[in-house]
This record gives sequence, structure tokens and C-alpha cells, in this order.
Amino acid sequence: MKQRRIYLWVICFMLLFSLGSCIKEEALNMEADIVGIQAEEDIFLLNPVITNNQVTVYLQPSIHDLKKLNMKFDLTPGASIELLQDSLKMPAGEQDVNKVIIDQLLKNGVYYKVVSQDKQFAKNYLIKLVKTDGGFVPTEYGFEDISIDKDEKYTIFFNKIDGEDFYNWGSGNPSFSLTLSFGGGVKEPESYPTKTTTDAHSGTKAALLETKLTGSFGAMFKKPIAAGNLFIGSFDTGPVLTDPLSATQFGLPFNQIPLALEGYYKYTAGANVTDENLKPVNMKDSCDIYAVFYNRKKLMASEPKPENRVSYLTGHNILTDPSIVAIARLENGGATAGNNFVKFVLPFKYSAKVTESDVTNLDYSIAIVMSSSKYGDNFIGAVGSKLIVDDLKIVTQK
Amino acid sequence: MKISIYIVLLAVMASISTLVNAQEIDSKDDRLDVQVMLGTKIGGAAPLSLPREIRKIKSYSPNVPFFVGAKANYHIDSKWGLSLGLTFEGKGMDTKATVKGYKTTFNAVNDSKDELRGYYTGDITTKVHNLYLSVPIQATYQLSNHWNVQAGPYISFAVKKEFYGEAYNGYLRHEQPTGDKIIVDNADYDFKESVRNIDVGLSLGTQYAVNRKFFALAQLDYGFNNIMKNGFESISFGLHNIFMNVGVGYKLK
Repeated sequence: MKQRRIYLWVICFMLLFSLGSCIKEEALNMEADIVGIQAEEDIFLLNPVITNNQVTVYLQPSIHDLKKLNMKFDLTPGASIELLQDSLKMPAGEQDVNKVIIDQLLKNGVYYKVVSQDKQFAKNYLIKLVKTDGGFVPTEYGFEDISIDKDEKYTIFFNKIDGEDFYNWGSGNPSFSLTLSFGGGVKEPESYPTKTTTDAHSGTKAALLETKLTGSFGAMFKKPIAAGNLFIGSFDTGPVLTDPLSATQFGLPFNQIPLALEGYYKYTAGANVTDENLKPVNMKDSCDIYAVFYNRKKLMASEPKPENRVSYLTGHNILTDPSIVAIARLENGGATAGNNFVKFVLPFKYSAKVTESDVTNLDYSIAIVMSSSKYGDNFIGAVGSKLIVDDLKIVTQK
Repeated sequence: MKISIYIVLLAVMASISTLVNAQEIDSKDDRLDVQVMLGTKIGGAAPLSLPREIRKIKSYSPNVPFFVGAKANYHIDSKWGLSLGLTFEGKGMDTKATVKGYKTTFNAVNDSKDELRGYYTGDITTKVHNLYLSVPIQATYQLSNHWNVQAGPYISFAVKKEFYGEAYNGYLRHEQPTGDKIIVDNADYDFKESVRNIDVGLSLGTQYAVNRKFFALAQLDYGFNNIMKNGFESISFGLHNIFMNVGVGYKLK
């Protein structure tokens, strides 16, 4: 009898131990993402650009009747989405809410709130529709319009043209917020590599790009510096640790033939250029300003798998992809003399023929890329290098 | 580290011989006997119950699963007794698990001030290889000629600490589940500095005397405290040393 009792004890303990170790029922999802957008018809010119808090939908040029738009958001499983009513500005006397939504989607965008399955977390998205029949990448940039990210406090450049907002510019600022979180830095617009300055050529503002140290975060991930960058396209924080070159998604559709990239800049190089291990490199830092015109249709057709097809170039192929037809690039990005703005006119050098009707049909895209350290994409540059750019203009064939 | 293990082994040997000597001195007294034992163990640094964040345990294997030790038993009467022991043992495991929405931080090595906080979803390996020098104090009870049971607290001193691993095939949501999504692959972590030096727990065991000299033993050790230091936040739940020991022993008498 006694022996049996001991066995029982042991069995009880084993049971307790193993019972406690069972895999629990899965918790409700905490994430609240828009992961995709579905439409019944083929209304998208390119895949909607979805960042962590903004969705930009580029409509086919042939889409005119927006009342029939039937779009559905794909969300994190279990999440729900609702219109943020107070982001809707109803004009006096206007009753048709749908009309107001569509008008505002086209002009300034409308905020939607996504609530997680467990109802504990919510995120606001700015949803913006872009009609593309008139060509939608502006040709002139004064860098006067900025907004500040609500949570991370970095500067976002956009363009206001005839009351309509265009969110065409991306920068590495979202990833620099990791550095600031990591090292306990202050999250304010001035802490980031890409920001605004009152030292402007015209108007009140210009874009200021500054190469920054990434501190202990950089030491941990072998990314010791962050060059200030600003480009036409969007930034995906996903691969910043694993494949930073693919985080920059360059280029948006453009329906004119570009001839030159013009603008004003001033550049001061930081004192000491260092490499990816923060070891000194015997060279002077230089900035980079260039524009790339590429055949987006060709780029997408070159990828056999539909699910891997993308409409943008990345840091891997921005200057080398076979779909590129023309590049305009600042030849000497060294320091500019004095404290005055220097004008640059960079002609597009064509390496392939372009059919005008294909351009008009929006088969092509353009990317403008600026960086405070030319080799910043490989983490080579001088902390403190500063590039100020203003009054950028894409000169096009009339 | 190697050297300190040898020192510990020497200490164990020395204590055993001291106990043996003590036993020789008191050999006339039937009330005292000394045992030496060794064996293997299975268990791990485990949460009391698996948190919901752990979705799947892909693999588990014990690591450094050994114990070697000695015990001096004092027999109060024919049934009850007290024992004091010294055990050198490894408490370790290697696991691979899939987690979802696991609140964690990625630290710069040995610098807890700089860290990337967030919610991680993906695969994670955990390698715990800790060596302890333990002192168990137990009450013993003789059930029958063959069987006896022991229960009592122990205190363990860590002599070698290893707690490291890798996050891979996953992503981190920065700060909040709604924060920026960052793909994580091959991100190493090392938490050995955050492993406590002292572990206190309770043992419950039984011995089966095969003959007058040899016996088999089984013992469950359960650590009361989290093996990680207070203020350690990279794992959102407490980890306790929970091990089942199985081994053999020999009565020096």
C-alpha cells in the first residue's frame, strides 16, 4: 500500500507539472494593421502604398466615377475599421456624406481608425486617393509643406497643390526613431537626419539632410551612421535591420518626359568620414542628388512571380536596373563654397529610347534621391555632413 | 569559467571526504550515515504555466543534465531523520519556440540601458546552461525497508551562468503592437548578467534501497524564485528552475 502511495505522489507532481505546461489558448490579436486593399475591379495603377499609418491609393487614369469605388480593407485578423468622424469636414449644407468622403479622400485624405481584435490597441491611418489622369508627381518642390509624425515626431515632407495633398516623399526618419528609442534620445523633429530649415532659397523653408550617429543602436546592428535622405517613394521599416537597402522604395509614376533636374543646394561635409565599423576612412564626404526615370511596366514584367512584382526600385538597383532609361546626377557632391545656395542643373542622360505615348500612359516612374552622404547607404559618411536643398524642379519636355 | 568548475568539483570532493571522516568518527553511532549520489535530470527554466504568448514548443532538450553530491543523514528515530547535503548540478535546457506578441527587449550586450523594446512574433531559441552548488536540508521519513521519502528546502549558488539565444524568422512591433514593424532575423541576445546568483527552492524525493549499500533515487526540485534578477523585463514572465532528478546512490558505511 505504502509503495503505491508514493507512486501516486510522483504521478500527481508530474501531472501538475505537465498540466501547467500545456499550450494556452491563443490570445486575441493585438495588432491593428491595414495589410491590403481589395477592389472588385482593376482600379489600381500600382499596389497601394501602405505604411504603418498611411495608405495611398493610386487609381488607374481611366477611373473617373469615384462614387462606384468599392474598396475593402484587409486588416489584421479580427481587427475592425471605422471612419474617424471628426476628420471629416462636412461643408455647410452638404448632406451627402459619401460625396464628402470621396472629395476629401482625393484632397487631403480621410482618417480611419483600426481597432485590434483584443480592443486594447488602435491606430489611425490617413487614407489618400490619388487620381492619376493629370499626372500626379508634381514637378516643382519648395519643401514648404511639412507635417510631424504624431508618435515619433519626425518631419514628413508633402506637397500641397491646388488644395490637394501629395505624399510623395519618403525618408529614413522612421528607422532613426529606433535609434532614438534605443539610446534614450529626445524624439523631436531636430533629432532626426531629415528635417526642415529656415535657411531657404525661397519661401520660408528648405529640406535639411544631416548625417547622424546612430549610437549604441548602430553599434549593435553594425549601422553606425544614418545619412539624411529624402526621396520620391516610400520607406518600409520592415527590412531596416535585415536588408536596409530594400527599405527605401524609390519612384512613383510620372507621365512626362523629364529633361533636367534643377534646384538649389548648399553642402558642408562633416570632418571625419567613417565606415560601417566606425573606423576612419581617408576621404572627404560628399552629397548625392540624382533622379532616375525608369520603365515601370518593364520592371514589373521582369519579375516572373506576380507576388514579388513591385513598382519601385530599391537601394539595390536604383542606378543599375535594366528598366532605367535615364539618369540625372550631380557629378561633384563636394562642399559648396561660402554660405550661399548653388544652383544645379542636371540633365537626364538617356540610355534607351522612350515612346512618348507610353510615358503619357503612365508606364514610367520617376525617382528623385538626395542624401547628405553619398555612400550613406553602405554606412560610410561623416557625422555632421549637411545638405540643404530648395526649389527643386523637374524640367520636362513640353 | 572552466577553472571555477574544477574548484567547485574539488570543493564537493573535499566536503564528501570531510563527511566521510565525520562519519568514521561517529561510526559507533548508528544515528548518522553518509550517502554519495549522482544522476541525470530533466526539466528546465520554465514558467509556472506556459504564457499565452508561447504558441508552440518546437524542440526541447535538457542541457548539462547532471548532479553529483553527498548527504549526511541523522536518524532521529526509526522513521524520522534530517539530512544536510551538498550537490553540484547543472540546470539547463535548449529550447526552440514560436511566440506571438511576446513583449521583450533586445539589449545591447550587457548594457540594459540601451534596448529596443517591443512585441516580438516569430521563432526564438533559448539556451540556459547554469551550474549550481546546492545545499539541501531535508526531513526524511522511512516508509518501509526499501522506501523512504525526503522533503525540504535547498539553496543554490550559481557558479556558472549562461542564458542566451536568438530571435529569427519573425518581426518586432516597435514599442507598441501598433508600432513600426521591423523584420527580425538572427538577432542574438545574451541575458547571463541577469541570471540570479542564488536560487531557493523545495525538493521532494524518494529513495529505493536496492540493497544495504546501493539505492535508486528520484527527486523533484522546484525553485521558488524567478531565476532572473528583479528589474529584468526582457522576458515578461517568471522562469523557475523545475527539474526531476533520477539517479543512483551509495551508502558509505
